[in-house]
Amino acid sequence: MSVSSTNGKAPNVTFTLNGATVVARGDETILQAADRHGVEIPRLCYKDGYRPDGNCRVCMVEIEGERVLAPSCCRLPAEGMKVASTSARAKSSQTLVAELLLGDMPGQGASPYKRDSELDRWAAWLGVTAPRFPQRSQPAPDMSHPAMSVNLDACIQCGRCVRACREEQVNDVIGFAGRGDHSKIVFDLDDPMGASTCVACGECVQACPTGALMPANNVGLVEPDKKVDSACPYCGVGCLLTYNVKDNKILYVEGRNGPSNHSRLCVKGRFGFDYVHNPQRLTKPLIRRDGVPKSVALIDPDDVDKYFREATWDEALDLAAGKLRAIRDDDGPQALAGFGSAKGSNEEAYLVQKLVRTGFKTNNVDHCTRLCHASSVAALLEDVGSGAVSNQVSDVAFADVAIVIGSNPTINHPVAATFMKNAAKAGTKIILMDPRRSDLARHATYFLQFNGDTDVALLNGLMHVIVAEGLANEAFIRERTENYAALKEMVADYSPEKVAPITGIPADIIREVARLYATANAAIIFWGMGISQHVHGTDNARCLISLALLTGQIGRPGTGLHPLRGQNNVQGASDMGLIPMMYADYKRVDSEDARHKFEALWDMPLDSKPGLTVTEIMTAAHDGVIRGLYIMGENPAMSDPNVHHAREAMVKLEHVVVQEIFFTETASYADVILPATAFPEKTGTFTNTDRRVQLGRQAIDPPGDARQDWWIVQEIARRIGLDWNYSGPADVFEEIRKATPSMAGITWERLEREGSCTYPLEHEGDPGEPTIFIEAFPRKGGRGLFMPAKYTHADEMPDAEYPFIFTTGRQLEHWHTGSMTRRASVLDALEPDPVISVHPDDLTRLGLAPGDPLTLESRRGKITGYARADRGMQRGTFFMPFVYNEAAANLLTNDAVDPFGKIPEFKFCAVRASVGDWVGAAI
Amino acid sequence: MAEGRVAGRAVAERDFAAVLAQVKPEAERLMALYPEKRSALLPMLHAFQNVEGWLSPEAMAEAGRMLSVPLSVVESTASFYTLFFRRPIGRYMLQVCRNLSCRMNGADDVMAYFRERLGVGHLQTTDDGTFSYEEVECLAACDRAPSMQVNLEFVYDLTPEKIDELIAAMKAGTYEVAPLPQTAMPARDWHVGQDTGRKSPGGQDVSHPNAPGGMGDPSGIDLIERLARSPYPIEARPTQERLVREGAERLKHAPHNGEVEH
Repeated sequence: MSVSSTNGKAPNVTFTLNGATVVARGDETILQAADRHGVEIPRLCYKDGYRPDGNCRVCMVEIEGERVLAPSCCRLPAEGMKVASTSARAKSSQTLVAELLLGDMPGQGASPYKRDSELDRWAAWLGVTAPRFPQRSQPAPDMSHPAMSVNLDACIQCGRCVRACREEQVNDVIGFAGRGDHSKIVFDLDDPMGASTCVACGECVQACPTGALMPANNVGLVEPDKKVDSACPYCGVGCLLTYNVKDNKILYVEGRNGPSNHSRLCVKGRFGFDYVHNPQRLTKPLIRRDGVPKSVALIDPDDVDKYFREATWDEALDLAAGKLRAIRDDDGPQALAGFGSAKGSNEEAYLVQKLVRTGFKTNNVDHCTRLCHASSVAALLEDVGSGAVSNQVSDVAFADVAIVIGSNPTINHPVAATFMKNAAKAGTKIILMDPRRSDLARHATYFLQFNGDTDVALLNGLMHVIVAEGLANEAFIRERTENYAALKEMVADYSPEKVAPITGIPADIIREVARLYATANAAIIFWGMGISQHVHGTDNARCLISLALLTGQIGRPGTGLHPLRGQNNVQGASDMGLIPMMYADYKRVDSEDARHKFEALWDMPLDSKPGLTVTEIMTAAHDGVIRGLYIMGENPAMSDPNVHHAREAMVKLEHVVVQEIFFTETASYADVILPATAFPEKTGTFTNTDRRVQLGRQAIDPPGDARQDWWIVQEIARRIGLDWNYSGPADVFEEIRKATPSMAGITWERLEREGSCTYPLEHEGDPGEPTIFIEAFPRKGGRGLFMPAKYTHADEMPDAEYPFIFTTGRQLEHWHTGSMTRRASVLDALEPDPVISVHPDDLTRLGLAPGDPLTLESRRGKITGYARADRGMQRGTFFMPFVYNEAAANLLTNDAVDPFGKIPEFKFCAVRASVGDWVGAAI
Repeated sequence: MAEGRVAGRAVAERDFAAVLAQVKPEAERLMALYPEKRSALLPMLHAFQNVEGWLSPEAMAEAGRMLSVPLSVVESTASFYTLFFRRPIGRYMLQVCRNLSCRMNGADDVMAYFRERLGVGHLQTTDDGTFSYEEVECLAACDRAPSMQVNLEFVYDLTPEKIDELIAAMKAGTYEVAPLPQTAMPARDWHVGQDTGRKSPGGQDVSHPNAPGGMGDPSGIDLIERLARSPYPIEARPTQERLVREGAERLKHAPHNGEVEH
């Protein structure tokens, strides 16, 4: 029954549909061919892109010479076949199905839950009005979930939600239970949706044809004024979506068929949008009141009036820029620094770094890439010459083997994870390596729960096996790499037997995994912050690169290296040169050629000294070297390691300008606060983890007197003496094309038309290159570099005083420091409180039950959160998301950094644990 | 689970850890049996039900966890089979067939009568804990419709009188049936009392379909000839329309008398 994809290679088929000759593509069903030729056939259980199931039987057609009718949604036409979708027999069958289904709807009529119910549409099309059949029993509504309403009285059991949940998103929460007319849609063990393991991706809501599953609060009954095609503001996957807007309010969000998401979204993208309407939005410029000193304590956003007063834009901008200018002129450019944001657009990132480089006249500009993939980028630039991914996420479908290491994609990149799960179901062998067992483990062929901090030992062990067993790709090594001898010498020392006790992974498993990866036709590596956020993060990434080079698993579809990017534009912000040592396109500021190029472009002399990084800027502020800081959309008062130190540093600053949408923790330390625009309020380009440059379009107007970020940056630039006259994002993008050769071929018009372009795309009209390194690496000589790495351990190891390991990360419902997601009603309802994940055995050891307060203390700070039992944790380890300001995980983390990427060690520090007393309230 | 009353009966507080310990050896044996762990789902659910007497949510979750099967798949599987009881059950588990053949032969009346006599509905248990009642999909006993199972043993040709007798005997404790839980596969050599009684017309005097000359005999006799050997003349075989008509007629003449005239 299933339609096997033949990649369009099957020959076309000519058949007759309702008397007309029709040509179907080789892999097209009768229904799809009919659609393409404008012939309407009713359908309910069929959904474009989903596996046709053929269960509703409303698409039945008559095929000449066949005894029974056929479901056109899962029947391929044959040459010369004569098909009738409108014959009396076909019509009568279609009509009866519609009548029976309509008879089961509430009131036997139109769906009360959805304006555009597909059943209503097709029933009307077929002329069905009053069903003659009795109604089946009507299940009670289930309103247990904050994001979705379940009204199974409108369910026609087409199974689209089951396929959505099991086959598309592979969350396996929805099932068909019972038999006969007792059969019904269930969540888990027939639990209320809100009590089930549902991750609220909402794919089922998007799939439901009748409104039985809908976004909560009946928004499906409201007619939007407009639909705006845009992108998701959260992670680096780069899902495209559509905002449905009424009266300048976002009603609901739908997934759009983007290249990176195939209409899929996750809970944040689909239900996490109403932060933009939160009453705490900043709507007026604010200036710190005279005589109100700064202190380390955070300011409650509800108490802002005590500390700040409202000001006009002119006054605020004059003060913000005037003070920056004065510090520059009095103390020198090195006393200033700027933070941009990976959540801003490429245009904003470009303007911020240009402002700092040409206006502040320093390279002290950085953003949160320093806290996420700086070490990966350092290793990639060093060894393969390009900091971006070599292959796109969707390549996992072409891979025989996929290594996923130090990454929890079902939480952090949920839609990317769906493609990995799809691939696993189709036969790709997933090797998951992580100290913490995540949901992906269920789909993995191998799950290596190695001891945290031992990545280099494990990866060297794999390479040892590959070299020792003659599985290295000698031809690839000879023709396309250098420095192999050094790697060989290094890994010789890492036999599986030696590595096993270090990593906790048996030697035999290390051998099996090494063989599997090395001998695969195509094998890809995905990694996340578990690799990068260590003091040996660059070494970790070097090992992964060496693994790919050693086996030649790079430069082809289904192979390669993919550091999964965390933020929607962390790739783009780095591409734009929002980093202290590089201009746009990763041209080093200390390279004379590059500097001359940008001096010519910007018509002004530039500083040749690389600037300070995020953490260095904080230290310099602490030491009084940096005196003025401009922060656009970053929240270092939550995101920096050893965050108390960062907060102290900001208190010491003479002048802090914060450009934000909310009164963030960082705003507590501001002198001037400039109200900016949220994602749906602006237009701009954003570059996802796949190197896809995508267009986000403005859907609503900003609240109050909040202004466009590019405009604010330009006004500051003008006030410190720059002659800027950009007319808008498209104008800035034109300059970006000049500054960034790898994006030079992308035009604004093409982005408006296609929505998404993959770079490198150097010349207008090029298709873009999804796979790079096909023939050479963009290094001198074109060869990849083996950079051997020695196993070292974390900066701070557990000891008798602090015996536990503490590690941090994200959780599905929340985003980074929570400034957006804790103000999004659904997300906050799903995860309202600070939780610390603990192995159940450790809970027992500590004398705690799940939900009890637990206090953790490191050498740097102390926090209390609620203990959550998690069998995926290793014993002796605690995990905590860093989103909660009432228990900020970063008060505990260690600010020791990797020497190359300068990335802090968020993934490993030592703590002690005690029974907690009470958990504070969110500020 | 801490509730003191389950299915109307006071029960001791359950200790699932103890259940788990008891099931563990069998669970480990089952998991080792199959190359794919998930293949062990059905026997695993039986193993839990054999110990607990019913299939608790904890048991289903644990089975799913042990076999890496999602909860929704465990639920879909368990809810498909009438042999799994997903709530604690009474002394007698009454499962009345609600499928097509039985319904055409009066199962609606049978179900209505049971509900009235027992005072409970589908998936419910009487307060005294004697009866659990379910309306289930096809029990594969169409030839003796309407039919049911009591503690997984068949009872055929249900009539109000027969139902009264059943209930009376069960209440008196004289009804002969093995007690549940007995969800290990029911024995294949069922002894069904009064099985020599008159069968419904379709089954009367028809040789076994796979016996020589039977409907399924592949010995080369063509269909017409086989039909000719049937006790019914070809033209007299009941048409679908007639069966529907007669079924509707019978439903009108409740109480149902269990006998079929022809």
